[in-house]
Parts: sequence; C-alpha cells; structure tokens
Amino acid sequence: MSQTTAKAAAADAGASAALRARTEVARLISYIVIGLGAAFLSLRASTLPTSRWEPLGAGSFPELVFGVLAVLCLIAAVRAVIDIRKAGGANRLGASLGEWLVARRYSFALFGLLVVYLLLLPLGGFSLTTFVFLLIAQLMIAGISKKTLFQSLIAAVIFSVGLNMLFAEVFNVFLPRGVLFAG
Amino acid sequence: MFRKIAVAAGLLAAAITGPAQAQDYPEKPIEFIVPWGPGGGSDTLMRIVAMGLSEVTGQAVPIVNMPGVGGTVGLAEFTKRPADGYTISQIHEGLYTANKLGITELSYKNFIPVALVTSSPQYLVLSKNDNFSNLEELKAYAAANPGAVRAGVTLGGVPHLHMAMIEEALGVQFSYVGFRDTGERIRAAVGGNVDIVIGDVASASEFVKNGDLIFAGVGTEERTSEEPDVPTMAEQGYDLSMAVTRGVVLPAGTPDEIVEALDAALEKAMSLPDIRAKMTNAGSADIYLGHEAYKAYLDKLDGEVDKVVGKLQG
Amino acid sequence: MMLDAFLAGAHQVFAFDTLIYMLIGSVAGIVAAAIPGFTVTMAIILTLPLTFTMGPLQGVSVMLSVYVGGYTGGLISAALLGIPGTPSSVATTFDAYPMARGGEPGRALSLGVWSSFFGTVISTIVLIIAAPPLAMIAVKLGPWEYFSLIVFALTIVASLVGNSLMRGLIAGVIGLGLATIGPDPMMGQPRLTFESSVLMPGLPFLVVLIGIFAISQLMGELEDHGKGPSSDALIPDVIEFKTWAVMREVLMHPVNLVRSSLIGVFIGALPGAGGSIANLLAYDQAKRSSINPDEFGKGNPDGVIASEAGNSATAGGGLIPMIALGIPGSAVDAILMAALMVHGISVGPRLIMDNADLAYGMFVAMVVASLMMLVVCVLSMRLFLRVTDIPKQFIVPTVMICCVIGAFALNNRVTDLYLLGAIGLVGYGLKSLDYPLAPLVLGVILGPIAETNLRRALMSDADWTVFFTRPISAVLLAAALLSVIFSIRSVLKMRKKDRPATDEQNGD
Repeated sequence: MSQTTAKAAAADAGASAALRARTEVARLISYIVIGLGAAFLSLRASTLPTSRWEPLGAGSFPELVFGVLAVLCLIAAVRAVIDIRKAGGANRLGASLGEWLVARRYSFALFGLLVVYLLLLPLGGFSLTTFVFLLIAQLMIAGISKKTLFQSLIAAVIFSVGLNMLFAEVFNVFLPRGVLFAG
Repeated sequence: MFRKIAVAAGLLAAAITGPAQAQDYPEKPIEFIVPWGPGGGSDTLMRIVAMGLSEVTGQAVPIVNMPGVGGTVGLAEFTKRPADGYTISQIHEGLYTANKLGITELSYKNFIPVALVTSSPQYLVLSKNDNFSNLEELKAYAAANPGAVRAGVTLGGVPHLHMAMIEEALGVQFSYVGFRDTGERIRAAVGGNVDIVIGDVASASEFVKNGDLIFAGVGTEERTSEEPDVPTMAEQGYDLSMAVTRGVVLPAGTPDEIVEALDAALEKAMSLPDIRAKMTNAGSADIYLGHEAYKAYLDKLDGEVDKVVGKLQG
Repeated sequence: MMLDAFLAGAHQVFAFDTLIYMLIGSVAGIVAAAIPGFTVTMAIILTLPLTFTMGPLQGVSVMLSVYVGGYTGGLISAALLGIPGTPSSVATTFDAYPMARGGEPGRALSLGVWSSFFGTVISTIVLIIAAPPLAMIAVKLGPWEYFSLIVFALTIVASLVGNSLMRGLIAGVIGLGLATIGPDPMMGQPRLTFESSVLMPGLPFLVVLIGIFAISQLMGELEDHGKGPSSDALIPDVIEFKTWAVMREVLMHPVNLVRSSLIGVFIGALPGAGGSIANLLAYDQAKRSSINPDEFGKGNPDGVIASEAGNSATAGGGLIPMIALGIPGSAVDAILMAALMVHGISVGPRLIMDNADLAYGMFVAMVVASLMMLVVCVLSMRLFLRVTDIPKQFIVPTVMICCVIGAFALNNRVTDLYLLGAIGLVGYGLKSLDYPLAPLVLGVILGPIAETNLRRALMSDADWTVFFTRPISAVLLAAALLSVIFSIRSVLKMRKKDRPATDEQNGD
C-alpha cells in the first residue's frame, strides 16, 4: 500500500489530491458497510433473551459495542464525504479500482487458492490437498521452468506428506483426514 | 419387509465382521476426543486414563482436545466418527444440563456408555467470613438475609445444579455469580469476592488446610477418605448427592464386541497401581462401573437431573 | 532452611539428564513459537505426556524451558516476516520488522533476544522476592478491578493507531464486537451465530490473530509481484549481528527495560491476563514516555525492547500466583499445575512451606531456562537469518500451510479454518484501506474479559457506584481517564504540527 501510493504521489504531485479522494471514497464505502453491519448486529443483539440470573443479559454488551461501532462509522463517513468534496470530488473510480486489483492479482490468486484448498481439505485429506496447494502456489509465484518445477515438487512433498507424518507419528496430532484419501 | 431384510443384513454383516474386528481390537491408535480444553479437570483425568489404556492395549491413545460450547462441539464431531472403536470420548453431568437447557440436541442416549472411570465428590465450600462458618450458620444467615449470600457457580452448569439443590434443601435464597470453571470460582472465594462455592478436593483442599476456605459438607453417601473430618450433606439432614462423574463412551452403533473389549481393557487399566495413584492425586475417588452398571447409573441420573433442572432455566 | 531447600532444588535441576531435556525443551519452544500459527501452549501440551514419566521438578523444569523459549521464539517471525509468531509478539512486529526490512535483521533479532533474556531474569527476581504479597493482591482483585483494568488497557488503542485515530477506534471496536460472536460467556447460549456451525463455537482469538496478521501479510507479500526485477527474498541483504554490542545497546535503555519487565510481571501475575496484553501495554508506555514518539513504528530499538521484555516477563509473573497460592496465572500455568498434581504434589498456598525444594527448584529452573534460551538463540541466529534468504515462492505458501495447521490444531475443528480464510480476507481489506490491525486484535483479547467481569460485577452487586468506591478500581479508572486526555492532547499537537504538509496515507 504505502509503497505504491508513495511512488504515485512522488511521480505526480498534482494527481495526489485526486488519488486521495479516490482512496477516501474506498474508505467511505468501508465505513458504510461496517456501519450498516454493526447497526444490524446491534439490533439482533437487542432481541437476545435476558436472564433472570443477572441484570445484564447476553445481549447488552454486544448491543452496546455494535451500537458504538455504528456511530463511529457514521462520524467517519460524514468526515470522509466532507474530505472528498474538498478535494474536488473523485473521478476515474472504476479505472483506479481496476489498477488496484491488477497490481494485487497475485495476492488475490493466492487467496483464491487458499479458499479452494480449505474447501477441499475435508474431502482430500491433509497430505494430498496440501501437496497440490503448495505445488500450484509455488509455481504461480516463481513461474514454470524445469528448475522451479523440480524445486517446488520437493518442497511440496516435504511440507505435505512430510509434515503430516511428523505430526501423526511423532506428536500424535492428527491433521484433517479426507473422505477420499485418508492420509 | 425391507426393513427386516436390512436389519438381517446388518446383523449378518456385524456377525461376519464383528468378531474379527473384536479379536484384534485395538490394532491401531485409539483417538480420545476430550471435549474440553487442556489443563482442566476433564483433560487431566482423561490423560491419565489414556495413559493406562495405552499401557494395557499397547496402542497409542492420543488425546484430541476439542473444546467449545460446554463440551458439545467435541461430542458433535465425535458422533460423526466411524463407530469402530478407534475414536472414543468422554461425557460428564454437564451434558445433561446442556441438553436440558437447550444448548445441544445431544444427550447421553446418543452414545454407548462403556465405563464410568472417575468420580469427583463435590463439596460445599465457604469463604472465610464473619457471618457463618458451617452449614447451620449459613442456613440461619441466609434465611435472615435473603439474597445476601453470593454463590459462585457456572451458570447453567453442573455446579449451578448442585447449588440450586442446596438452596432448595435449605429453603433459602442465594444470589448467583457466574464463573467459567472451578479454578476461577475457588480463586474468587479465596479473594472474598463470593461467599460460597461448589468445589472439589483437587482445587480447594490446600486452601482449606491453610484456613482460607471451609468445607461445609460433601455430597457423597459416606465421608470421603481424603477429607474424613468433613460431614456429608446427608448427615446434616439434607439428602443430596453431588458428584461429577466422568465416563468413557463410544458412538452409537459400535459392535458389542468392541464395547466389551474396551470395557475389559479400561477395567484393567484403571486397576494398575500407578494409574490409580495418579487418579487419586488428581482428585478422583476410586471407582469403576462397567458397561451395564454405567448405563443404569446414567438412566438414574437422568431422572434426578430432571427433578431440579427447572431451577436453572434462565 | 531456605538455603537447604534452594540447594536441594538446584541439585535436582543441575542433574545432567534434566539439563539435556531442558535444552531440548528450549529449542522446541523457540521453534514452535517461531512458526506462525504454532503456539507455546501447543508445545507444552505435546511435552505434557513426556513429563508424566519424569520426576515432578524435572518435568516442570522442562516445561518451563519450553515456556521461556516460546516467549522468545515469537520474535523471530515477528522480526523477519512481520507476522507475530505468538499472540505475545504483536507489538514486536511494529518496530522489529521495519528494522529488519531496513537492512538490520540481525540487530532486530539480537535486541529481542537480549530484551527477552533480561525480561525473564527481572521477572524471576521479582518472583523470588515478592511473590506472596503480589499474589495476595492479585487474588483480592474482584470483577470491578478487572473491568477497570481492561478499560485502562483499551485506552492504549491510541498508541497503536498509526495514521488515523478514527480508523484505529473503529478497528478496536470491531475487535470487541467480533469477540461477542459465539456462546455467551456466562450462560453459554449462542448469540449472533445465525445458526451456523462455523460461528457456533465463537471466533477463537488465535484464529483471528493468524487470519488478521499472517494471511493478510502473506497476501501483501505478493503485491506488485512480477513487476520489475525486485528481489525474490523478503529481506534483501543479510547484515551481520553484533551480539555483544547489542547487549550493551539494550542495557543502555535501563528505564525502558525495567519498566517493560515490571509491566510484564504485573500483567502476568493477574490470572486471566497474559503476554498478549503485556507486550502491547509495555509498548504503549515506552512510546508515551519517549521524547520522540514519532520514531516508533519505524524501527525504533525502544519498541523492540519494550515488547520483548514485556512479554517475556509474564513468564515469571504468571508463576507468582501459582507458586504463592496455587492459582494459575495463564493457560500454560494451569497445565504446569496439572502436571504437578498428577505427581501427587498439591499446589496451593502451602507449596513454599511443604515443598520448598520444588518451589526453589522452579526459581533455579527459570534462570537456567532463560540462560539456555539465550545460548540457543545466539548460536542459532545465523540459521534463523537464513530464513530471509529463502525465496518468496517457498516461504509464502509454506508459512500459509503452517498457519492452517496452527489454526486447526488449536481446537481440532475444521470449521475454524473457514473462519481463518474469511478473517484473512477481511484483514487484508482493512489493511489495504489503512486501518491499523493491532487495535482489532487488542479488542478481541480484551472484549471477553471486559464483558465477563462487567456482568460478574453487576451480579455480585447491582450497584454501579462500586466501580468508583473500590480504591484500586477507582485508581485504574482515573488512570484510564488520564490516558485518554493524554492521547487527545498528543493527537491535537500532532495535527497542529503536521496539518499543512501531511498527506494522510503516505505512511503505514
């Protein structure tokens, strides 16, 4: 975050205000999302049953916390709107979101891999699923060549099958087992 | 019709595979799901049981701690495991209260009781104070000042149940303060932040020796060998039984042969002198109830809990 | 009498086999804590069955060396990867990581190791001379004092916020809110779980920590990947570390060292609190009393010293209520106590009288364990620094797997892994929008303690004014108020100074 924005700011000081406005819009959206979520959860918490054992029920504390969160987000959102106005409004929002995502395509690809991995873990078991995850992730980062393929294969075996054996045999800790493949 | 065939097929399958399994059982490590976190009463006691079982069977018995929602997360996972005897778990009275208060759908009937292996007698413990120092004085003080006596319990848990039983027997009214576990309650009593708590020998006896706490009564039929000077509740005119018992269970559907084999192995394990000594050190009474006896005990307990559980509904 | 017991204890600890086991324990603790996702508690549980077969003092000594090693190991991944290896090293990432990235990874590690060593030693000294009175104070504290203490601890959010106080507050309150999801701490009734089996058991603190810090940091490593010839390794050059020079450097900050250690001792002595709070509190105090607080977060040695001395000192602090009263100060102490109990040793207020050799043996073991930690760390530091040579392609996916294992092994629940993924994405989003993450974690730690004690206090006495009439509680609340005033003042001052020049998002 810091490096990219810092670079951009240095490159073109004039674009700084517009950039700032765009970042501020992204934040404004986050304030609104968090604030609405908090308001909803606060309402939900207020409907939780009270208990005859204590003056404060199960709902009081979460109701208060999420209520405060909603108020904080409201204040932050108002301030963000003022800031954006001052900076002369935000333009090129879609394009800059696109740039932002493209710069982070590997980060999101890694996360996507993680999600697929976690979903398949209960099916494939630790060793198999982890092996595949590691292999794909390593090759994705390093690029495919004979050398990286070889290195990645070795590393993937060590940290999937090897780790599983270490935990099961030495520590007697059992990592998730699969339906299809028990290892 | 189809049902009958299915049952017959099932029986046949069990007859074919059952004995073969049972003869060799156990031929690989037995996972022991303890539905509580490490370091607590259940964990410590079950680790000793696992040690004994491992010694008798020659197989590793790794403990898998699966805490969460009053012990019900681990038990829920346990019911999904294959009923082949290679995953075992543990239940105690907490399952009854959790079930009857609607926290879990699971009840003791979802499992096959194999053996009751530990019993920790529960004591009524008084914090050192100016107003009362035994049960009769407590009764008089609480009767004169309704709601003034602060009782430390785990709300909706077994200690709460026991405290409610005492409250009813004495015909008085306490005010309740909730704590997570026995250690927390005892600490609050030592610090004078609550007046009475339910505790056991393992967690409270050192403070009693030191004069910080007083044992006012124990919920067993006879006085315990660890604290022979402490009168039972029954002696003092209140017929209450208060204990936390822990037993090993298998998932429903496990073949009878496996249940019997495990029962036999556990009985042998719990009679090893080293294991018995360690169990006593960890605060359990010397006790073993096999498959049938444990089942009968659980059924009886069910009726007893039903009678008082209404008092816990919050 | 005291000397006899001391010698008897020392004699047992200095047995050859005990020392060997302790050395293994020390290495195991350091390694376990250095891997993100693996915790000291996990390492202790794994050693527990082994100690059943040892003598009581031998078993406890081994566990103590795992414990002490573990409080240091977390620093390694905090400094080199920017991911706290354990919950106690969150504050270590603030300054050790920028220092390492700035080309001084050796210095960052050495600073942490020496601070940990001195922190442990100082806490052991306090343990030996002041255990009984401190333990008495700790046990007298009721729910009112705990609640007020947590209110005070929450005010340190202001020190952790980075660029925007507002977003820091929002992050902190999000943390408080996240911790309320799951079973209610009093009755165990589900709340805000929406009948989902993933949310039913609640959000375990460790899973939040790994998700927020580790997953988002690992994703961050791949930003701008494939652009230009930027180096593959996370930290470009390995610079030598000067062990002795750094020791002198640490000793040149005596006030910070002692203050942070004492904070660690006191927080450690309170049952239920622990290293995860102590490192942040010590960091906050160091920053506030520094003449140039702006330097914090950019590789200031004082930040590393405060965090590492603070968390390591909780090891000795946690033993205070345990040895003096038989009340465990942390989860690890509870396991230690269980191990002793199995051996037939009643841990209680009479431990020092009835089993003096054991109590004194534990003091000796603490010192030996910290020395071992120091030796192991100094000798193996070159090895750890090699981590920085490993290319990203191996480090990033492998560390992610370690996080998955750690999150799973905590409670053996697959559903926790789904939480890990979701929290990781949220963490990455918040980080990208320049929300500070430390306040969120602080909120998750403190929220349940605050709620439980608030409700417990009101159950004990429905009168609200008790919070102000109990002296210790009142003092803590006053301290919280002062802390807030101080923060507001410094924010205003900074704003006045920086207003014209700063572009809010230029640093993070």
